[in-house]
Parts: sequence; C-alpha cells; structure tokens
Amino acid sequence: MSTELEVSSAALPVVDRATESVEARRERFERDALIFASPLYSAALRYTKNQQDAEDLVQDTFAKAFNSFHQFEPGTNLKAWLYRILTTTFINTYRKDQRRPQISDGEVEDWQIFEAASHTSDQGKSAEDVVLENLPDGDVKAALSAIPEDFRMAVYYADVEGYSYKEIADIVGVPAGTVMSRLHRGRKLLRESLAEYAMSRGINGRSDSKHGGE
Amino acid sequence: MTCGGPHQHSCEEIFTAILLSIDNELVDPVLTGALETHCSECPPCDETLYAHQRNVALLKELLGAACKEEIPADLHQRLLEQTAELAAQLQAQEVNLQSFTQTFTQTYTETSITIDGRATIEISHFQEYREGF
Repeated sequence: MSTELEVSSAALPVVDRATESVEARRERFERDALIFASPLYSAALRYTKNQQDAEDLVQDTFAKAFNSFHQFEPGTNLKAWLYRILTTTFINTYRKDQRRPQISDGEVEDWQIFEAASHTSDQGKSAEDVVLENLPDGDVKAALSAIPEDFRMAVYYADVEGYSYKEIADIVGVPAGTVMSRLHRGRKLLRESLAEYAMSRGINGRSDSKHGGE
Repeated sequence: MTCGGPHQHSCEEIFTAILLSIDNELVDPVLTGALETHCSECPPCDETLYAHQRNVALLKELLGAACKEEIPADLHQRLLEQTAELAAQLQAQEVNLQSFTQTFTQTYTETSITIDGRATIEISHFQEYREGF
C-alpha cells in the first residue's frame, strides 16, 4: 500500500519553481491551497472520527503541502493532491491500528458482487428511502463512521466529492477496480448502517427528529 | 440469479455495467448498448439498475448535507500562522545558503617573483575565484 502511494507521489511531475520567491509561494499557497481547508477538515473528520485528531491531521497536511508545494504542477487537481497528502499523513501518523480490515482488500470478483446484490433485495425500498431521507445529519455521520475505513473513504470521495474511480484510485493508492468494489460494498454497508439508525429512531423516521443529531 | 429469459449477456455481466453506469464510468459503447438492450428485456435487472440509481442519489443527498463541516476559525488562524512560520524558515534557509556561498567564495590571489641567473625579474599575477573549499 505505502509503496503504491510512494510511486504515485513520485510520478508527480516536478515543476521548476526556482525563480519563485518564498513570499510569492506563500501567497500562492494561501490563495490556491488554503481555500480547501474546510473540505480537507471534513475528510479528516471521516478519517479520524474525532475533532482534535482531525484538526492535527489538517495542520500536518498543510505543513507537508507547503513544504512540497514546488512539486505541485499548476493546472492539475490541487484539491485531489491535498487529499492524497491527507491520506498518506493519516496512514503514516494517525492510524493507530495498522492492521488492514479483516474484509478482503483485493479485487472482488463480479460474481461475488452480484451474489451480494440479489435481484430481490431491493423490493420495497422506496418506503425506506423516505425514512432515511429524514435522518438527522448527526445520524448520517455516525452511520458513515461505523463502516470500515477503506469503504467509508471510497464512499466519501465518490458521493461527497464526486470523484471518478481514477481520481479516488490516485488519492488512496489502489487500482480503480478496487475502488469500484469498495464503493459498491461501502454503499451497501452504509445503507444498512443508516437503516439501523432509522430503526433505533422508530420506523416512521419523523421529521421532527431532523435537528436532533449531535 | 437470472430472470430465466434468454439474453445475449448474462445478468452477472450486466450487473458490472449497472455499477459502472451509476457512477458515470460506463464508457464502452458496446457495453452501454448491451445494458440498454438487456434491461429492456429483463425486468429484474431493470429494477436493479433503478434501485441502485435511487440509492446513490439518496446517499449523495444525505452525505452532501451532513459532511460539509466548516473549518473552525481558530484552526484556520493556526494554518495561516503555520504557513507564515514555514515561509520564514524557508526564507532563512535561502539566506543561510547565500551567505554560505559568499563566505566560501573568496578571491584567491597569488603573486610570484622569479629572479633568474641573468637578473631578470619576472612578476606574475594570478587571480581566480574559488568556491566551496
């Protein structure tokens, strides 16, 4: 995993910014990079699941980003570049449990994916959709936190940030096919997790609980 | 896990196309056509496609509303201070590097006088810049 990440970092074209003054670099960084502080913080909360660690992670990420800002090629995706630094920083520094999730990390065969999603499992989901739509934000965040990190982050990058398989693959350092299976499985796990929160609030999922989270 | 009908592509093959299509990753025109044809013939696969589209739309809506935390103001302030500090360190490194180069670039002058047996005096003057010694 770390090898793949290193390879993808090394593959970044190094732009010669020798003529840029430190002051100009600082201005460019504040203007172009620091505007992504909020989305980076949101992703950091998904990784660390607590505010203090998320703040530290964001600070470390922006320190590393500034120190290697000369390696960032202007015109390419700066936000995704920052997300990649965030990911590697989290893995190297904050992930207390270095074990990979017990769930197979490899490619999931098509037939396995297909087995997991039977033709009949989606019957009657419209009613559940209505219930889930009314879940308070706090429950949605908690339900997302409850699923394993690899799946959680694939879903976050795809469904919050709208990144493609390729972009997510570059950020987390796995092949696009792995992203696809993590995403499919992650959404399924999240759906189940959300349904549990809805159940615990009563099946009606009343909208008066809308502001009850956190 | 099929509807039992005869299809050119199996429901398993089509399921992959369904997953790709809900993420706008289905770029192969042949597979795109196969998905359309298959779903028009196979109600269960058509329902699976619809259910996945609906689910992804729901998750995007829920996650988009929930995961948009603003960075705390004091953290933003710390980021600005940190950037200023790192820039100052970088500036100091550059200044150090410049003065290092200056210190170790000195004018090296050598003058030699040679007096040979016929009392001819020859004075040579040699000057060069030497770096990094």
